Amino acid sequence: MTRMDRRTLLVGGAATAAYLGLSGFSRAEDTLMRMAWWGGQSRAERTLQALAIYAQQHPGHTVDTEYLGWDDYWPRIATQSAGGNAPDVLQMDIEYLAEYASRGVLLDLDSYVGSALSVGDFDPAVLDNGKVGGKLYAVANGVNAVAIAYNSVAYEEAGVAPPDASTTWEQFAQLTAEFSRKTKRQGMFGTADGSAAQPVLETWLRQRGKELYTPQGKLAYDAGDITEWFQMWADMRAAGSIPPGDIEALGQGSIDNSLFAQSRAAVAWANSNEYVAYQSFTPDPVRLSPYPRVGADGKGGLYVKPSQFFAVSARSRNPEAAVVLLNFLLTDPAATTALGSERGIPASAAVRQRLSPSMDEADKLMSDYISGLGELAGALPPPQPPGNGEITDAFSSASQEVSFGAKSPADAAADYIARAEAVLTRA
Amino acid sequence: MLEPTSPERPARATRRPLASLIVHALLIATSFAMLYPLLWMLAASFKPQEEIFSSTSLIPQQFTLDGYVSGWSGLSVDFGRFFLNSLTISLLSIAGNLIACSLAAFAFARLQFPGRKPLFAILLLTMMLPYHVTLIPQYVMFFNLGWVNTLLPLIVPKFLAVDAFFIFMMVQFFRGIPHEIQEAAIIDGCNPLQVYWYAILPLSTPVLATAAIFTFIFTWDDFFGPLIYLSDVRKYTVSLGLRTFVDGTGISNWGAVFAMSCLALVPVLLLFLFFQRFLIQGIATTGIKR
Amino acid sequence: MPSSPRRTSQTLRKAAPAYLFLTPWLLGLLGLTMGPTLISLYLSFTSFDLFQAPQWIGADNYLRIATADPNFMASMRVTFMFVVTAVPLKLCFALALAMILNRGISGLPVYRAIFYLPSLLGSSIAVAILWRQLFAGDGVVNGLLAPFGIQGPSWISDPRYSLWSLVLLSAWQFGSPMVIFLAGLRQIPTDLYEAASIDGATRLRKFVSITLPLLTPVIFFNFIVAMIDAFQSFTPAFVVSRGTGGPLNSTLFYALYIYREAFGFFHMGYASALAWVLLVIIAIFTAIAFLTSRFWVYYDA
Repeated sequence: MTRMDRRTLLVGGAATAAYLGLSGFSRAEDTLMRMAWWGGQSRAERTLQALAIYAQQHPGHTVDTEYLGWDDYWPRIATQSAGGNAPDVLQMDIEYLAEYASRGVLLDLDSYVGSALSVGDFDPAVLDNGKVGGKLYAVANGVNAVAIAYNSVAYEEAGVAPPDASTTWEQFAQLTAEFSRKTKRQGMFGTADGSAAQPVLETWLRQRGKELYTPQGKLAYDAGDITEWFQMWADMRAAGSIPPGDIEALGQGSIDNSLFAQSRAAVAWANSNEYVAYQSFTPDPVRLSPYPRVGADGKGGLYVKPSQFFAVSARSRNPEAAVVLLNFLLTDPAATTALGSERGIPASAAVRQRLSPSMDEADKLMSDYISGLGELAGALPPPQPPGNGEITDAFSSASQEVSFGAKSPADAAADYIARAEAVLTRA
Repeated sequence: MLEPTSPERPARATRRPLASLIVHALLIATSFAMLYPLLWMLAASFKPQEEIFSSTSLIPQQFTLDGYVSGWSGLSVDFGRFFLNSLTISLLSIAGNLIACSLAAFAFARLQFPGRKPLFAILLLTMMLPYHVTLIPQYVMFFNLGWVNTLLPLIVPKFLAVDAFFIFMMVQFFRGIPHEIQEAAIIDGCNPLQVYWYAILPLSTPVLATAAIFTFIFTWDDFFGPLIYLSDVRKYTVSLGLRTFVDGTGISNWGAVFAMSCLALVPVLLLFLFFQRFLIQGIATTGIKR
Repeated sequence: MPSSPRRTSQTLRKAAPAYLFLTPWLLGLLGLTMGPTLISLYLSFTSFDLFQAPQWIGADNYLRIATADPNFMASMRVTFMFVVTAVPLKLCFALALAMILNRGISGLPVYRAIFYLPSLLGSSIAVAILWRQLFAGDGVVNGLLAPFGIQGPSWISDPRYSLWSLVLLSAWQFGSPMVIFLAGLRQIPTDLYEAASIDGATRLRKFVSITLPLLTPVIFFNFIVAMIDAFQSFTPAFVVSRGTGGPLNSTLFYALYIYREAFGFFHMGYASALAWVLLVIIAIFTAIAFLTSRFWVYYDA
């Protein structure tokens, strides 16, 4: 190598190092925090707007943002948490809350309640949902409830009355089968298959006076329930209400992959705060309605639940500042206005009241849906035990075994119960 | 059967019009099958979201540039920044892989030394462990070095020849270079470094070009590394930026995904076109006689 | 030690330059690769949930893999099917096109670029939607089959066929081995062909006695790499099935199973054991390939 070469290399190396090394050390004196969430573009815009207001009000505080889609968010949070480098403030989901909180990743917020954290006007039941083992680890940033989202124009065109709050499962099976027969939209079924979705099962169980789990974290239903459940859906499949297994399997995993998004089903099994997402896949107006019921005068089985949470990392270098930021996002008038109802209808009564005049149509529709639930919504269920993720997975596998005809409803149910119990014993 | 011919020599096919026609017809048919999915993607980048999911047509019914506009500047950082980040990582990775891997490959292919076989076996073994299970300890290591959220975890390993694939590839090619060349160089008084630099590397442009192209593509497409190590949105790469448009629980911007996916192909294609001229400079065309 | 001081110093002198060349790689091996690898081996003997300290449980993870894990067998079956179909398909395709493209026909750079384009796309998130549009029951592929009176199934979501749509995805991205083959073909000295022509050899004869033997190091390389790659195949199934490995676990690739155990269900200890089992399996197949290579791979030496 000639001398010239070596010098060029050295200069190049130094320049590179400067570019690469620039980050990280430049703002050492300031309070530097990191905040992470999953979500789409509009959530990012609103959250960044709120954080800009925070930066104005708190000179010297800088918040770096880390946002991603749901699928990518969790492996990163898991890696960061395992490495002791979780973001100071992070968005949390009920599916993972117990897994993270019970393993010491999240900060216990109890000592801040009433001082730095003013959640006095939050619905206590909703607040309780952020507790694990009696301690508050996460605060709901919005509430929702399960709902079906349906394409109102498709139903109108087919001349079939869409489901409403009084529709029973039997009636639902009939009207969706009728839709599949009558609709002129090619390949569209009356409804997507809900047999694999744990929230749909949960609602149905609650309508029958049961739950997913006992307060001790054991299964609160048996193989008989699941056999009946799978049989109900098998009948709907035979009647043409729901698509056969190979079409249903095209719609696994996420909203943008759902049969509703692909115009293959007129009804989606959704959460109320997902309304805007479902609407983005069709020009026809989408409407929300509660899940069908066991009997027209029976229980609704629904409950109002946190759509997601904000939590603080136990390893945060600035826990006080992080809690201040958390409180700001949940209660500050300007911040909550910027955030709107994008994460779900705000859990604070005061914020809801302040937002209601400025709500757009979609927000109103979601808000009205929740406030209109009335007696359909009951008490919160017992918390999910660790291992629920694996059980959910086993459940959707079992449902597929039925829909592809690989197992009878009774066999699939028995095998599933055995697997779920094995998971709970191991966990 | 077919045989290689150098570009200077008139190929047999061009002298036989019918055969040439058949070859071209086959190639064009294959090309179309290859390209159809990409053409669909290009078409989708001009469609509104409802249409992307409901139509398989190659021609948009409703033409829109929304995907490009909202894709380029829809995130808090514009996509140009992601391109710059990706380019930085990819180009530095090329430099790292070419230098470090060719050095190691030369030793394995051309030098006799104690421990060669076991070390080569270890080299191959490092390719066989699924990376998901080393991710956490690796993250902890880079975190302790203070490298997390910098480009260093994605670049430095390349300069330390961590990617065994490239070493193995170069070994195979270096071993194909006639030994007479190396022996002649040694007789001329070359030390191993000079043999490497003056005898082996000049004859290895195809494999070096191949390594450069692959490094670029692998790093350009990689999303897991950037996902784990680059947490700040301003440091995202193109592949990570693309995934940021998609949220399975909420609103995704698929128009932007397809539009930016099309744009993301441009640099890779340009680089490929630039490097592919080196692919055809081998022993066959440098006039080395045995 | 038995060797004399003189021999030791000779060996050292001989070894020194080689180790100098290997320095970057050795640094990487000892500094970056070795630690995490050994830690994952240790974790495979523990119960580790990512966040709390790992608990030593001996060989329990391995025992469970061997005796009580239906998903292990399912994912092994899927992965083996994928390896034995995708690898030959991809390599044959790549070799055939490399041979055609190596003939010096006009428009060569254009074809080469076109054939490489699908590989440039990699496993971009766009592939998920792309593949569904192609291979759904009412997708493009069945549209092409319809005029021939064939009513195709929903390839991508029928558990009998879903794996094949991923095999096709892998074959579609044959660009990398093709480029390596092309580079290999370029390394064959042209004077060999000229000499053979003078001796009156036919094209078939030249292919069998010159092209194939001299290409064997590259064929060998492509085979080993494609096999290791196929055993560890993760992203295509992750992207196309949205991480589910469905329908009915028909695309539950082994690496996807590892990922789900590690990051979906927080069983990092068990996932590590699964990964080491895979390493042993791949190593056995690679060793067999290397042992047979002396009979069919020709290096210039």
